[in-house]
Amino acid sequence: MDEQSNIEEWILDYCAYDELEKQQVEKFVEEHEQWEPVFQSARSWDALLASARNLVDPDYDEAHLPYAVVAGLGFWPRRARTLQQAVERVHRRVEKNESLFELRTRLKQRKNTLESESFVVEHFEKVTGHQIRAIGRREWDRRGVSNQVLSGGVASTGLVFARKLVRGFTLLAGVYVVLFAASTLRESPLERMAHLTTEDFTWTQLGVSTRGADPAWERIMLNRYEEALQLAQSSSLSFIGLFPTYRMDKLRRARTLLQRTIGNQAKRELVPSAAYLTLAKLHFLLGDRLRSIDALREALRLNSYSSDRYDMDLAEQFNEMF
Amino acid sequence: MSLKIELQSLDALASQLPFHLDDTTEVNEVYCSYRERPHPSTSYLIELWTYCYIRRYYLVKFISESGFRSAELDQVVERTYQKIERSRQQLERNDRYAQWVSVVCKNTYLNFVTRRKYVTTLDCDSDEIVDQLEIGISEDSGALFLALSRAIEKLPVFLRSVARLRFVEDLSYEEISRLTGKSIPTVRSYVHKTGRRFRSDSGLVAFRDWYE
Repeated sequence: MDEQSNIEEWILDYCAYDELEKQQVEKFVEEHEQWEPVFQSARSWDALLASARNLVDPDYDEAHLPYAVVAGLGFWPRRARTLQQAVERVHRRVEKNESLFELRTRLKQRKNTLESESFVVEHFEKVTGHQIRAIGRREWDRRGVSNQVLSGGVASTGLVFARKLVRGFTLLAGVYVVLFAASTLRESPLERMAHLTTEDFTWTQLGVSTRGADPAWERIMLNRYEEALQLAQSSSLSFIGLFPTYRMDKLRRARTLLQRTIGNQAKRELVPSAAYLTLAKLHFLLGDRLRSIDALREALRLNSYSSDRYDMDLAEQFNEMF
Repeated sequence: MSLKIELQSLDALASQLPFHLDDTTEVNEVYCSYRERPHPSTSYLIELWTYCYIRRYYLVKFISESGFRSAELDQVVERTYQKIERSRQQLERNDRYAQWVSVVCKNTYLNFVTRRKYVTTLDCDSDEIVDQLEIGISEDSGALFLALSRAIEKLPVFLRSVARLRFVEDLSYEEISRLTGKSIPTVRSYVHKTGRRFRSDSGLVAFRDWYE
């Protein structure tokens, strides 16, 4: 059985043999007629593969010239590039052969004459009953055919547009994720925590208390804090959260204003701990780490008096930083 | 500019297809899909390909000699298209649609040239006239070559260059060995592996009936 199978394989490999080996197979089959059907199958493969490579065989250039002229050098989809190269090879060889070159010229003239005397689009529409319309070639790459045709048809224009939109959005999201990762990873965790966030600009919404002593003063203090925070906010140069940087002049002015406002509060205990946290960040961003630590300690100290949820969060943040 | 004005030649019309005219694998896949779940868009695609393929087939034949007239081109294209449209439903193997269309073209062409009154124009050079009854090798050479290229692309990377050198460039084992730096037994083994894989490649198998 194994021997039979080996012989069969040996014969079927006919297409891969050189002339001498092919003759050996032919002789064997002549002597063992029972292998003739297998040999016929092997020969059909050999003939098929020989025909398939004819296009690149210079001996067949003349025979292939009409095809090469009609196949054209215009649109070639990506998946037909090997064929395009083979046709171009025929044309290049023809240019070096005077008689083939002349023949090609005549074939081109005939093609032009036939095409100029016929209206191909009108004829297509008459014969098929279809109106010619754009298909949207780009959607019909290999993946497109699998996804669209095999699932039941060509996508409508709306669907094609929606797919383009989704693809574009996915691409943008991918680029953003990569940039965000690069932006995040270039800094140490401490540096990342030091960046001004929305919370640094909104803590005044909780109000600034003078423990009921002077509502008008409270209003003035609130305005000053907000002014300092707006200045700090306007110093940020980050675009959609990527690679945040700051305008140092504005940052300095914001720090000065915040320091002055804190200093103007009658009692240190009345200063919101968030003000010290923001101040600490401003110090840090301006490169003054010692003062930043002092401000953070003050924020922690103040926080120990507070049971406010926001302040509790700050305390957790501080503990993490230290 | 309107689409009609842009599409003055067969090249331009065929360029509306999302695949090459000779890409029989794609055509067969689209046709199978169309038969499984008919859809106006796939129907349009199949008909556009069929029309373009038929027209190109005859254009290749018509430019091969100078006795044909352009009016005849339209007539024979229409006749072949109608024949295909009528018989399409009876096709047994949907995954052989492209090959079947090619065979219909060949048969219709044979009928056409045997029945028509041959027209010889004054500028006709009798030496150029090809044997009208001979089935040309040219018109399917692109499709076959593309099927072979696809079969090679599907091979494992280590087999591809040897396969290309042997089955496309038709080089001997010695030449391949010299070019690739692999020993002759290795080249031989690769070539045999490739041949076996080709025998199960659907794109090549679709053409096999023609050679039996």
